[in-house]
Amino acid sequence: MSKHLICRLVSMSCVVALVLLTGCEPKIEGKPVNLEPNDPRPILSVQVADADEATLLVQKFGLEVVRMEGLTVFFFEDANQLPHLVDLGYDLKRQNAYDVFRRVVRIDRSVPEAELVANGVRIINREKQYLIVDATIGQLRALVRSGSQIVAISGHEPRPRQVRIAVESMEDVAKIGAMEVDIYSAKPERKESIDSHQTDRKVKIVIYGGAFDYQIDQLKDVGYNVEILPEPAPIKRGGQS
Amino acid sequence: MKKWIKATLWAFSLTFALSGLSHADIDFSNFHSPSQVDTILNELVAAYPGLAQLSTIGTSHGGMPIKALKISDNVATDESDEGDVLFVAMHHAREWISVEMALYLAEQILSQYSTNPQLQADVNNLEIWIVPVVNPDGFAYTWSPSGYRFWRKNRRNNGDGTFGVDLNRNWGYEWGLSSGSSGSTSSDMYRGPAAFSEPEISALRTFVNGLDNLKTMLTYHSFSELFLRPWGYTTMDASGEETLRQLALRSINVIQAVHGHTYSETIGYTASGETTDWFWGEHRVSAFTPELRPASGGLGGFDPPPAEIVPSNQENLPAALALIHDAGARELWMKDYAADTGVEPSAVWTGTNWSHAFWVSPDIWTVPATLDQGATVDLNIRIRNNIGTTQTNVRLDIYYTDPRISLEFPNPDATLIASRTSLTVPSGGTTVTVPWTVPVGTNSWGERHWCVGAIVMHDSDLPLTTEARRSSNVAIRNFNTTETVVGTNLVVAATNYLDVDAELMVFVDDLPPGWQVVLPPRPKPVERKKLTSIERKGLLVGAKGRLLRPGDTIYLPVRVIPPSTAGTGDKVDINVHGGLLPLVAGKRTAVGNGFTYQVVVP
Repeated sequence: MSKHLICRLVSMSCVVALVLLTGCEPKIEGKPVNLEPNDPRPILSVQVADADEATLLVQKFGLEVVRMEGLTVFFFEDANQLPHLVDLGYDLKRQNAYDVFRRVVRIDRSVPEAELVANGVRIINREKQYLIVDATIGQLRALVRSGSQIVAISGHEPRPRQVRIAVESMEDVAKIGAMEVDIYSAKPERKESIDSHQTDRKVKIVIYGGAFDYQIDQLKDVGYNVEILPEPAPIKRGGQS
Repeated sequence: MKKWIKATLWAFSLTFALSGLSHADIDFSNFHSPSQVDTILNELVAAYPGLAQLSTIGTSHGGMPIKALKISDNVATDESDEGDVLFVAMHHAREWISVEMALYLAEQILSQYSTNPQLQADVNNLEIWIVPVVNPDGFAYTWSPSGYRFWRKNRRNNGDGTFGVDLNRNWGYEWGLSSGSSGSTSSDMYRGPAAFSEPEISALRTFVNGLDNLKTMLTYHSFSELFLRPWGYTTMDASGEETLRQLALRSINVIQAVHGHTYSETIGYTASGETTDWFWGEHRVSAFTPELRPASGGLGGFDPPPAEIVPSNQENLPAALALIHDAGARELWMKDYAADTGVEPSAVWTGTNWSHAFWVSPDIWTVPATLDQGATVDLNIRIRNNIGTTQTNVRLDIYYTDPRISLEFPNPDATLIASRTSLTVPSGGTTVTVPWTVPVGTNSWGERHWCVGAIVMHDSDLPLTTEARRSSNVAIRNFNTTETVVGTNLVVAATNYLDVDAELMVFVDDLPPGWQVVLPPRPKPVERKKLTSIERKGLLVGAKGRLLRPGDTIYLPVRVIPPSTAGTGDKVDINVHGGLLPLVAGKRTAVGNGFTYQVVVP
């Protein structure tokens, strides 16, 4: 028996064993995800009153911001900056890097959505084989330990759905914009009544935009009728290089 | 004739002049790839070496150059007395048609320079900058076979599996609000981890801060056929709304006149951290976002048929040229100081001093000069006309305001003294006289101190800002109704309204021979005004000497010493004004308040 054949048999056995271990769940495809912190440096956080204050801290002291979440600024610890921040009365909090760094990943559907959400995981999109979620690496490590399969998203993910939403007023447009829907256009569109005896013609504002599944859920929850459109076909670019 | 019709005709005449004489070399029958854009820019520079120059103002996340095409006479020279105008495209990678507009604008200005006297004069008075692709990584990604045609953001690796920051949400004015931007890296409106976190936007900010005299900017986007103005982050009107709206409506009218497409002036939702808010909020430079064709639609709207390129370019050209003309015009104007030639900002930092003050325009004066509270005086405004021919349909608005609230004209707190429309201004100029009842009482700081502002407007020469120091169409003069007796201290105050440290300088103008003004040697800050949240944590502690931290106010006891020959009842008008020198490169423009005191020898 050739060495090559032996290897193939061994690897097939491993696959069978993995399928059995996971209760015959179909596996999702993708590259493995690094669930270690992006940077080994310690992380601190401070509370600010607004984003301007965070900007001023960066300008004045050169804080290297990891990210800002709400009014909390997460930044890499720098011994030179600490005295200034303490002098100014900031309450510095040391942060666990596993609670700060996040990943957007594919996760299998073994854990109910409600449970994911309850654990602070945000579901961005629902695909046939998997969910795309946004979570801290600490949350994802816990999910892996409990048997979930997590792999990297593809280069084009997550991609918002194409939506069409007919609304009554510009106030609705503002509301939908505030829900972080990427609005491409919002223009009045005259809609003729189906009943030919009625002369009433309603002018509606039609929004075209991009929205993730969680946003579509939110839109539906507050009563908007969201129509999901197909994405335009790939573009042929002719002789352009 | 209605104003907008006249403006339209003016813009039309310019457009037709351009189209009739055009030697268009660029083929706009299809969209241009990144490499083709580079080729075109190089070809323009090669074809017009005396007028066009290409430079790199920074690099993208991916290390690609961000290029700026400069168009001006003496293009190789930095002419600091000339105004700057900026056009930017391709914040959003999928909005290819915006690049086409930038290229078309460059080609039209260059190809018609030698044959269109009006355009030539404007170009000679200005340095025009065109940044056709501020997001080169994203642009390249939309053209790459392995990329995505409808990608919007740049290509920052967010470190969590996602890519990209929305560059039109990364500007620092009101950055980070939840209104119309996202903290989620997955979102197409992800604003980035911090304001100006993206090298593309940081580079553009550095470039803009280094310009001597930016007057206006346009940032092209698509789509929806809109012509947007600040604010983006809120639905509230910007300070200066009247000025901005006037410019936007004229632009919409001249766009509509070309192919009949009516651009809207509002978008209906908010966007924080967007470009024009920073230009207006930080610099009071009028800034607009034209959203190009098509008018509506889904994702495919970002990839309109190539046949839309030419009409989109054509209809947007006159609006751009009209703004260029506003920026370049030195025709109808008012002086900020005696030696003002109409170039704005006319103050020059000489290394040790500002060349003059902005709050004592010699083109605004009263008769009598002494202002008694409640008295009605003649308020005179001198409009200058350098065109050489009589100008009709000129409008003049005159306001007074509490200078402790605002020194912009118009501003929501200003009181309109008079408005004159359809004025005829002969060559050389004219003086308009209106009655003004001097305010009774004090301003918000308890001073008998007021500022009169005048705005001169013409269809083809609109003010691009509300600030006198940036506009030859706006002039201001401070008046004080207090009579001060020699021997008592005048108290003048200077506040640092900037968000950066600044050095205070105090100047006295028009002091008659023999009179002296004595300042304290090292004024100390005695009061703090809480302007920003960071100050609440005490960042301002440690101001020394004449250094003012953001929000600091210094009260200066100023003593006036008359000459020994002065007799009882002798009077002198003294202008005392503070200038702030921001200690940040690129922000070195004069700010401050001025007082005119009448001092009497007892």
